[in-house]
Amino acid sequence: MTRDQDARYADAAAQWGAALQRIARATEADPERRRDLLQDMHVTLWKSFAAFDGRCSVRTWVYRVAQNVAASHAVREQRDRTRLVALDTIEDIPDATDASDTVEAEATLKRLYALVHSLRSPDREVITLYLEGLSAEAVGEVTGLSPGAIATRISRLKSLLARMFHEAAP
Amino acid sequence: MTDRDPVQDLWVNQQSERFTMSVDEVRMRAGSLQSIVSRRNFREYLVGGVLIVFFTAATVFAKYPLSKLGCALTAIGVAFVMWRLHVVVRAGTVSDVAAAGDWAQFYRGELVRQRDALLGIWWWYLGPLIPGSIVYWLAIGIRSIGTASAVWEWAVAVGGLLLTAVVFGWVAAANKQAAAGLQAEIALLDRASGR
Repeated sequence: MTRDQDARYADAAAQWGAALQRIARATEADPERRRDLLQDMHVTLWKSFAAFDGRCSVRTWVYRVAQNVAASHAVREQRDRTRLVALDTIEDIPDATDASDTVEAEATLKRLYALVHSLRSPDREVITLYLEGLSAEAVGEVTGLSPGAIATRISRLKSLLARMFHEAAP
Repeated sequence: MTDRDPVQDLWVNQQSERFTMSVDEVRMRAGSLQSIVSRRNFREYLVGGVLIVFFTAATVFAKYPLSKLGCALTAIGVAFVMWRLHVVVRAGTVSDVAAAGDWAQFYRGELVRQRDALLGIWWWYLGPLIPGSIVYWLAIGIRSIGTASAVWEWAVAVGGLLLTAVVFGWVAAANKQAAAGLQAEIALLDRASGR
């Protein structure tokens, strides 16, 4: 079992390690604390594979572990929740940029992270998973939120992103 | 995916800081205290430890018996709070099974645990510190009975008791407000997850 666990963890870390880093960065802005969080994600992922039963895909499993460790971190850190806002209350986003240029792409990423950090749960989780490229159905599998709640949030995010990049809303 | 958002591509293709953990490193961290005690908790343990040492020393060196009792009760109270904090921290460690459950269920459990800890602050945080505080301040007044400075000493004792009551009341009110915020978050989560 330990060999399976080790192998599963090694495969998952190789394939989804970058995703864990992005989720850690979306959760924690402070680099030192982010590193601690990322290490906790890896340790919990390794431990969790001892109980992996194949009832969901490895990808869903990895994202669930990452989001749950991130949730535990956020609650433990007891951030001032009153600063966080809902996605539908965000109106103005400064300086729309084109994502084609490297420097501007960096600026866009910074603004994306600023947006994600300002959001309260569950908006933050849905948005992060959407940015990760998960379908609405996959977001539902990871989060356990209702399809309606996910669809509403993704729709709001798409409008917001369209405004960010001066594109027409879909 | 034909309708893929360009921002999604930007997000997943972003450069990340270099980070790797070998299986051996993961295994070592899993077995270490560091995986349970975060830096923040460590600071709280440290402050608690310093307070326990301080009030234990005060118990030894205080001359008046009631003052000794007040300091001893405070040291015991702080030790109880530290123990409860440790229990709460341990309960907050992500378990292997819960780790892979759906996020809404897991997060709800975390919020409920945090809310209950805030609502129960009188019995696990403030309550244990009350006996020591009362005895300590009363000792200041009682030991002065029959002395020239009795009025002044009693004024200090009553003032100390009032200040303690105000601080404890403020802490309790702040925690109650924070618990109400968590309850609102739980309700929001329940609506979003259809529970």
